[in-house]
Amino acid sequence: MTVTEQSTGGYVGRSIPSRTGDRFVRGAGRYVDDVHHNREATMVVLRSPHAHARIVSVDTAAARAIDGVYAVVTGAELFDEIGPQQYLWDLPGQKTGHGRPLTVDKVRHVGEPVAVVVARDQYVAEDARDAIEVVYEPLPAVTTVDQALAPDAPLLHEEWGDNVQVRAAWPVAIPGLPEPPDAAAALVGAHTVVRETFTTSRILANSMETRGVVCDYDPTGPRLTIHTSTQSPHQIREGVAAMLGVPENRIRVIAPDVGGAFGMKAVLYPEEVLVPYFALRLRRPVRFTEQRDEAFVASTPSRDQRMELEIGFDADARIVGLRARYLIDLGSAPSTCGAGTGWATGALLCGPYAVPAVDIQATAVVTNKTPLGAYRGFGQPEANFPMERLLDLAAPQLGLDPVELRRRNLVPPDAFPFTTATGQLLDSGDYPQMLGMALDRPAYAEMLRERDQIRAAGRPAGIGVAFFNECTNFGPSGVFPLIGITTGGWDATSATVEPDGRVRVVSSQTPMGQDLETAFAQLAADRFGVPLDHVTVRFGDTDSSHYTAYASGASRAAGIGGSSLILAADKAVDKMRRIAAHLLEADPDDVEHADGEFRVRGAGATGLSYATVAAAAYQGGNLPEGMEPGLETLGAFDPQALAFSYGVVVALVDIDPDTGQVRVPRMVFGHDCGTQLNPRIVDAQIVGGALQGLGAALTEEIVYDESGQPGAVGFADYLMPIAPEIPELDVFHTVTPTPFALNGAKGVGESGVIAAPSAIANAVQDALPAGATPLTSIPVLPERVLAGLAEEPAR
Amino acid sequence: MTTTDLPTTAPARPTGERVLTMQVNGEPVAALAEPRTNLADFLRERAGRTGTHTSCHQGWCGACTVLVDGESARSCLTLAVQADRAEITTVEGIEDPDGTLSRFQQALIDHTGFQCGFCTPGFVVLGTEIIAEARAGARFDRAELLRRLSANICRCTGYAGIVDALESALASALEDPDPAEQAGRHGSGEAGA
Repeated sequence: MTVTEQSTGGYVGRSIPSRTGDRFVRGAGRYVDDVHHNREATMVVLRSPHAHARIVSVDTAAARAIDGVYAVVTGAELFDEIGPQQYLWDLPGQKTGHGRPLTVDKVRHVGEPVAVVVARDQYVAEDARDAIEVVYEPLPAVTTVDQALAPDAPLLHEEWGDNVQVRAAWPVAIPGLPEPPDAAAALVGAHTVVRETFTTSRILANSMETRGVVCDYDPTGPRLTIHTSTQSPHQIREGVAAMLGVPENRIRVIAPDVGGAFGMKAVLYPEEVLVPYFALRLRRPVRFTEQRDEAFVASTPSRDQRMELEIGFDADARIVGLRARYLIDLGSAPSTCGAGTGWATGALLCGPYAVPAVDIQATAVVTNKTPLGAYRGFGQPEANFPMERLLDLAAPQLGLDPVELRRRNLVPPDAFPFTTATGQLLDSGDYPQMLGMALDRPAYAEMLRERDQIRAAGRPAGIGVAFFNECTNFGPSGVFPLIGITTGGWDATSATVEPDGRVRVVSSQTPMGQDLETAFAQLAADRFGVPLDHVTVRFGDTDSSHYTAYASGASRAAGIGGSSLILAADKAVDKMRRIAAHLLEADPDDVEHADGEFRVRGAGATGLSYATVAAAAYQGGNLPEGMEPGLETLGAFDPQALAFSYGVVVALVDIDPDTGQVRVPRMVFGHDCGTQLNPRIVDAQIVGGALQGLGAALTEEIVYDESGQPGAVGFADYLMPIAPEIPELDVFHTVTPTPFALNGAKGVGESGVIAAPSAIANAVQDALPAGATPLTSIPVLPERVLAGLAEEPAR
Repeated sequence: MTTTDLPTTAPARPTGERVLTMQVNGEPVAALAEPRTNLADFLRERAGRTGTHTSCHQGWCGACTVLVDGESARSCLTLAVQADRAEITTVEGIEDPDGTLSRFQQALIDHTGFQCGFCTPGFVVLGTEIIAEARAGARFDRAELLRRLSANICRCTGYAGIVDALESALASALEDPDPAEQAGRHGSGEAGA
């Protein structure tokens, strides 16, 4: 099947306006907290105020006595009631915690759930929570990876014997294949070797909608209907079923409108099990809405790595080998996401560059902080920052411009498909062309002029470049077990032609702002050859969508979800063609499908409409011999390989020399995600992602003090970009379809955040005096900028 | 506020609950609230207007912005009792009674000034207030618009579509004032009406 066989509707590739806008601008979106049930009760969670402490006693008597309180339960009381969680990323040899939604004898991070109250409403529940008396015996907190690895370190999980959760290394020797090249020898023989240690700080997705769960209770069975703000309804259903011992067919999980997720809502959380547990126990609906202060300690942050990176070059400045040793600060125990982001950093460390030999070792370490999880980019920003900074540090030593150094080392276009030294297959692209195009943009010329103007006005200014690729269309089911994922990597769509001939598509993907509702309608309208407004697209309900393991994450909706939609549509059209042929008394091979009709090729007569064919399909009495009545089909697509989007970011910074504050007045962003279903959506993903990257580069960070208290528990302490900070952003595209999706689409969801921090940090370095101490961590805060400005220029 | 303001039917409860009355988007609403009940919760849970969203509960993000007697307010930081007898306009009250979108609402769609939609109600109300001020004679350059929009946080869009939408709606509102919009949709409520 190829793209050219598509019907000629021509909706794909056009910037069709969003279907979601009408309800969103009217305030008619429906999010979890908007869902109410009669007799509902509200759950709140008592969280640990200590980073590390033994629980001596929990007294709930006073809380229970409050009018309107229905249940007050401790971790000890729940331990045998709810089973342990599963892990989406289950890396070989990984250690796990108790896996229960409430801790029992010990707390391991500020915010760890200790007890639960269910009461009449949020206000009463919080009153009761405040009345619970917990006696803690504080223990020394482990707040850095160095403390965690010290020989005499306090242990978070005594049974582990140390604070190391899992290790991983590359290259991976595969039996039957040649030995991987020796990176140590390559580095020894290198003409130039550069080495530096880089830190990517702990940051938080901060979707504007916090997490929330509402569970309705039906005594039949009993049955549970769970509304939850998640990217993965089927995964939540599996987790709840396993932990509560309720069969999956009695649980319905619905993700309604999801108010932002960014990977943070990709996996199961404790409250998603606690709420249905209490619905069963109290035999009434129960709700939970995460409050913003608890989101800062209860929703998974991400990044938080420190990497020592060493790259060797030959006399022509081509990379000969790479060595990396890095630590992942995993927080107090693996979340459902496990050490997945840390694994991805190593596997994708080579990025877009041809690196012949690697020696990479990753160590995931537990500390007394909130468990780490997924956030847009998933390990790739953590790989991109060290790589792109180190290339900039290497360039002067090699006597080259940073752009030229990158050009020499990018995977050349004739090398695709290209297997990296860590075993990743890069599907397609023209990386050097992309780099060249960025510098040919009029916006880049503007950027150079503006830099000179800022400097002439007496302020430091600089320009930085970073290249990246993004691993998307995750991923082939056959590969998943090799990388520690136990589920499948395919996705599904069902297509129904209704009795009136209109089309309804139900995807197993979950929208969370990426406007799949519009993009999939375009894809379906083209494939069915019907007007766009004849198609509706539905999502997010395990009772109506087909099972999918992974759902929406890893930038896989357009390519994998979209390909499954194509398969479902083609099956439906094929069935209609056979019904039409039967009605027209023609050979099915002579019946063509065009303009929403089925007609005999060359006969000139008016064909049969969708409504006519559908009516026959549902009446059922006049169908081809042996055909089942009805018009509903299922498409399931498993890609042969990943697809790598890619791009380049160029950033200009303008620095206030008195305050050290950095502005980013301009960015150029070149990008290729293969076939674009809707260019408007692609641009929106890039622009929004780039601004999140700007926050990660300059202001966002969750710092913990030496006692393990987080320095940010609200938006006052955690500075996300606001409107005056937006750069003039010049976005341009090339289109290199992936051969591994039926529609040629690669993902775009995470591209914006991967290289923007690197480009901005490179630009800040460029603005500092020549030879200033290298910037090695993000965010680059004003005090660091001032220190850099104070350095004497090198001569 | 004195106890003589209480409707005679208000039950005396130990929680201090009493009946509050408001005009919400032109419709009368009367419901019980405790003194500590914030306006956002009152609107969402007592008045059934779930279009107003709460995100930070600390006044930083502006998702919960509503108009109280024509002026924007953080409904998460406003106690419901403070708005007793007030005219409230929520996001649901910005469109015309016949469902026609305001210029700014339509511009948000045209410029993709939203993605997940969660912060959108706050921006719709904030932008509506800014446009009303412009109609009353205030002038906004781009820097001033960006400053005003910094009242609210959006995590998805990078703001570009929101700024473009507001600039376009402002320009069209000033070129071609719509008498219906100018008068306020429900006879009152919008600043500058």
